Amino acid sequence: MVWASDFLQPLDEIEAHMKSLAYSGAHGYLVQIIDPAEEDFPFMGRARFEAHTIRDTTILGRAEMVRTSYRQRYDAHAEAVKELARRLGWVFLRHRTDRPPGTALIALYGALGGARAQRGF
Amino acid sequence: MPSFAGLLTGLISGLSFGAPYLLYALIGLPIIYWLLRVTPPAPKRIVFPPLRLLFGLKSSEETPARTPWWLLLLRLIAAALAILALAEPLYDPTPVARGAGPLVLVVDNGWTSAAQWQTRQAAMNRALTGATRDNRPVLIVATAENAPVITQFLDPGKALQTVTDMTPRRGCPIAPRHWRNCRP
Repeated sequence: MVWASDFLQPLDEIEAHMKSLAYSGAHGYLVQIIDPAEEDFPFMGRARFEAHTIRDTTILGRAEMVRTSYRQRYDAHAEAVKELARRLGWVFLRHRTDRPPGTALIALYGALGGARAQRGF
Repeated sequence: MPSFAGLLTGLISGLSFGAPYLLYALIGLPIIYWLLRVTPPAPKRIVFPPLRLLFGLKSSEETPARTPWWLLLLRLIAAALAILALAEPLYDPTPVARGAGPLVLVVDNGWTSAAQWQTRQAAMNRALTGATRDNRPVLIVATAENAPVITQFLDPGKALQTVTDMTPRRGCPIAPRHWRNCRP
C-alpha cells in the first residue's frame, strides 16, 4: 500500500490510521510530499497564516523570526512520522515538489522492487 | 525676461481658493502621519496547510513591521493634494478687480474708444467672470453720455449681457454745421 500525503495531520491521527492499516495486513510505503515553502518557511514581515481545514488563523508580526523554531517543529514532526513507519517496518520516502517527480518515483519503484525481491516475487 | 522668482510670485498671487476654510484641514496632516505610523500595514494572507505547527509560536519581536517612509510620504502628499483640491484652487493670472463687495465698472464708451472696443469688452468680460464666480453684484457706469449712465446693481449674468450689448457712442461729424443735431 502506497500512502502519499503531506503528513501534516496531528501525529495521533496518523498513528491511528497507520495502525488500522497495519492490522489489516498492509505493508506501507509512505511518500511525504513537501511543499518547499512549508519546509523552508521563506516568509517575512507581517503575515496572517490560514489553512482551509482550520478555522483559526495566526498573525505573526515578523514571520522571519519564527523560522528556526518552526523548522525544528516541522523536522521533529516529519521525524516522528518516519519513526512510526520504522516501527511498523514500513518505508518512508520524502519528496519536495521543487524536485523532478521522477526521482521520487524511482526511489519508490526501488523500494517496492526491493521488497518484492526480498519476499521472493 | 521675468525671473523664476517673479514667475513663482505671479503664480502664487494668481492663485485663489474657492473654499479656503478647507485649507484648515491641512492642520490634520500630522494626525494622519501619526495614524499611518501607528497602524501597521495589513498583514499578507498566506495559505499555509501546516498551520498547526505555527500555533504557539511567537515572533519574539512582536512590533509590526513599520510602514516604509516613502509610502508614508506618498500618502501624506496624496492627502495634502486632496485637501488642496477640495479647497477649489483657482488660477487666474490676471488679477482683475478682486474683492468681495460689489464690482463697479466705469467704462469710457466715447467714440474714441471704438478703435479698441473689443479689447475693452474682453477686459470687462474678464472682470465679470470673476464676479460671476464670487456672485458679486455689478454696477456699470458708462461715462460718455451727457450725464453718466449708471445701471442698477445687476447680477453678473445680466451684467455680462449688458456688456455684450454695449456699443461705443457714435461720434459727431467733423463739420460744425452738423453739431447742432448731434448729441454724442
